[in-house]
Amino acid sequence: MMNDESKLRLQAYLDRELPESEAREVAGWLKQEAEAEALLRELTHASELMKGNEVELKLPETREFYWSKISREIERQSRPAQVRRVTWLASAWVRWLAPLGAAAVVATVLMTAGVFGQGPFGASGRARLSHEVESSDGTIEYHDQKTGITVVWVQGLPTDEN
Amino acid sequence: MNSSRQAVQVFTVSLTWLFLLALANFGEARAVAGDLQLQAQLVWATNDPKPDGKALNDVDPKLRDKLRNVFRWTNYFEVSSTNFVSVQGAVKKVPMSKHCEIEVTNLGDSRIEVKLYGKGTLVVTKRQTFNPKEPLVLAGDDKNSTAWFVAITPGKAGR
Repeated sequence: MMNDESKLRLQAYLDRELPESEAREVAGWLKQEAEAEALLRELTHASELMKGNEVELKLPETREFYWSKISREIERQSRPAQVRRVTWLASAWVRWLAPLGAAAVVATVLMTAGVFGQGPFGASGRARLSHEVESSDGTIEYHDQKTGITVVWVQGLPTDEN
Repeated sequence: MNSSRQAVQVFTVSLTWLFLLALANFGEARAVAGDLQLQAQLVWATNDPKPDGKALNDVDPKLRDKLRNVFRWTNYFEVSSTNFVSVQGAVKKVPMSKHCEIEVTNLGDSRIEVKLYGKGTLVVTKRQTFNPKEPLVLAGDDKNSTAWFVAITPGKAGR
């Protein structure tokens, strides 16, 4: 009768997770123990069944949209730490650069408002937005510059009868 | 005598027609600078063929291709479509279905605010600059792995 440790070693052997020396030891043991060999066959069969019958999970959006949401969330979560690291460095320069920066922004706004006539961005500014994904209050916003569409996906809304 | 009566009749009839034409033009919705000609479509997406007995039209191919580029569904059907004028500074209510309605506010400078109501409850509010080449789409899941979309696009006169 095999104990639990032996069964676990056998599973590890099947998954190729054992070091070479241990794997050789288990291989030798399998030749002598019919029970172990039978268990190995059973484990192999179960593993193959699971691989071949895995339920495919279909997402309601393309993989690019799906992964861009994850990427966006990771960036959002890592942002506070980055801000904290930069703050101590930036604080010393704030007194000198902030007024200069504000003046530069105002100057840019005034100049571009004059050129485009409809605010600071105009047509060329909108071209900068590409695959922006934002999430708030149960909605996901997705802007695809290449396709030319803005989508606001509402999550968890009660369905309507069509 | 008869000729003068005829002349008066012709003159009166002409004047009446002119008056009616002027009235028709006056009553017609005119697009003033700053107003937006828009179309709101309620679209239903599915991977199944069009169900029998349902009054559904195929969506405009351009919109369909844009939606297909983002979402996984292959078939997009128009449930309802409304053309309307969004007057600058005014709020326009547009019913999409018996449970769904949108409110569009023209904020000026081509900026609009769209509020989507489902069963009387505000679901989402979106503000953005309206681009005639880029539809604004509000969407969500529907039953049986389908989805609904409310697409705001240029109205027929604005295309």
